[in-house]
Amino acid sequence: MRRAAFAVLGTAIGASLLIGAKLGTPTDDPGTQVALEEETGDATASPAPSGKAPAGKKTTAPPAKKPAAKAPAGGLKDGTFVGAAANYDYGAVKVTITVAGGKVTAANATYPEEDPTSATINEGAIPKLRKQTLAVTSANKVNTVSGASLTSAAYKASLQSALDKAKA
Amino acid sequence: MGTAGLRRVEQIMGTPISVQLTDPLPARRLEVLAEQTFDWFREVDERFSTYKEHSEVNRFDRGELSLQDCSADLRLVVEACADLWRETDGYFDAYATGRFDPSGYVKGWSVQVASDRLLAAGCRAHWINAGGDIRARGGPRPGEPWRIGIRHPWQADKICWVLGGNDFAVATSGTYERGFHVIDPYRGAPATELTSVTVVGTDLGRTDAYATAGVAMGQAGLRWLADLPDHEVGIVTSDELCYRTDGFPVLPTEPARRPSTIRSDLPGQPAPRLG
Repeated sequence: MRRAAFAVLGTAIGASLLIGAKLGTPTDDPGTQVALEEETGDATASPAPSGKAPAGKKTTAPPAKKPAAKAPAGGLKDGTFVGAAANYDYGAVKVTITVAGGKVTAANATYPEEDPTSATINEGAIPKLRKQTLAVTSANKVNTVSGASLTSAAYKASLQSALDKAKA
Repeated sequence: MGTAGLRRVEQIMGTPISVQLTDPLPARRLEVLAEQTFDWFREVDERFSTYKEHSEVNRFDRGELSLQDCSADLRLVVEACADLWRETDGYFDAYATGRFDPSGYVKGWSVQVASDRLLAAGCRAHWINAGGDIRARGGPRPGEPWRIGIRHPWQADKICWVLGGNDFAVATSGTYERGFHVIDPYRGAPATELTSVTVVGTDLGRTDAYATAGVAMGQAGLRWLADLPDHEVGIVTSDELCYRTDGFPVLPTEPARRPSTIRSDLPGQPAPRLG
């Protein structure tokens, strides 16, 4: 039972992160990045990204089905659960879910109130696009590099030039 | 080192063109194929450069050649530019400078043609990279994908994605290499919101034009690019956010070590096997 609750919580944290958290900070922490990648694929418990939700503060899931008075079908304990604050580069994110009749009926996430850049994310939200942190990766295992058009002069100092020299 | 085969770079069309051929063909055969490939790019430069007074493109632009008298290649380029102008709502515009300048299409198209010719000649494993726009087929070894890094917009020696594939065209346009040079034709001002746009498809001429158009559209380009049929996109915005479609063929990567230098990163390591 506890495991199920945590699974839901984890998913909610990840999904909520996508909506309002600032993902722009380059990070070298592989854990953060991998976690975000995984959560994005899981939409089962994700609050619907609503365009009218105030950016960067609070996002509320649409209420699920009416709580059943009977035994919890989903096996979750009724009540309100507050997740531990998850710390990311851009601040702490805290998720609260409400369970009634064995089902999650609400999920809320709080974000740093003063984060000025969160707003831009909701403005740019497009269903077909997945948001990610901008990764910084070394090029030691790539065969070649795609980038904005290089002039011949710029090429001499470029990563592609280094790769060409190393592999020629 | 690592991958056998042939690797060569030449500066043609004002841009570095890198080629790698990895088919298990005799070395001499690979040499000939590479030479034919670079000959083709030199021919394209002669015929399509706007900097060469007597190029076919310039004679067509001056009205010395009618469209019917143009080569089949130039007619194809003229038609493709017209198609792309319509498809991109005018954001890809071969007449943007007030004259016919199809350079934004010719580079990708000529790489595509070169790759098609290599394939037809029995070279199934190769990539060609012209100034950052790539057509790749096969892989470094049988069963392995090519690994293509997407340059990090603000750290020239780093990448932000690694794409994997064995038959794809990868084009990136951006504002970081030559400044804000992509002009939004409707505002007449440089587009600044999308710092890097990568489009993946199978035809490099098109993917290149779509990437350029996407940058020109600015913020509106996010939605337009996301809706491109049969193409996958990865975008970095000026506020350092990343967006990509689900099908963008990213491979898992390791974060960069610190401190790192290009030199120490480069010694060839065997590419990891993918499941």
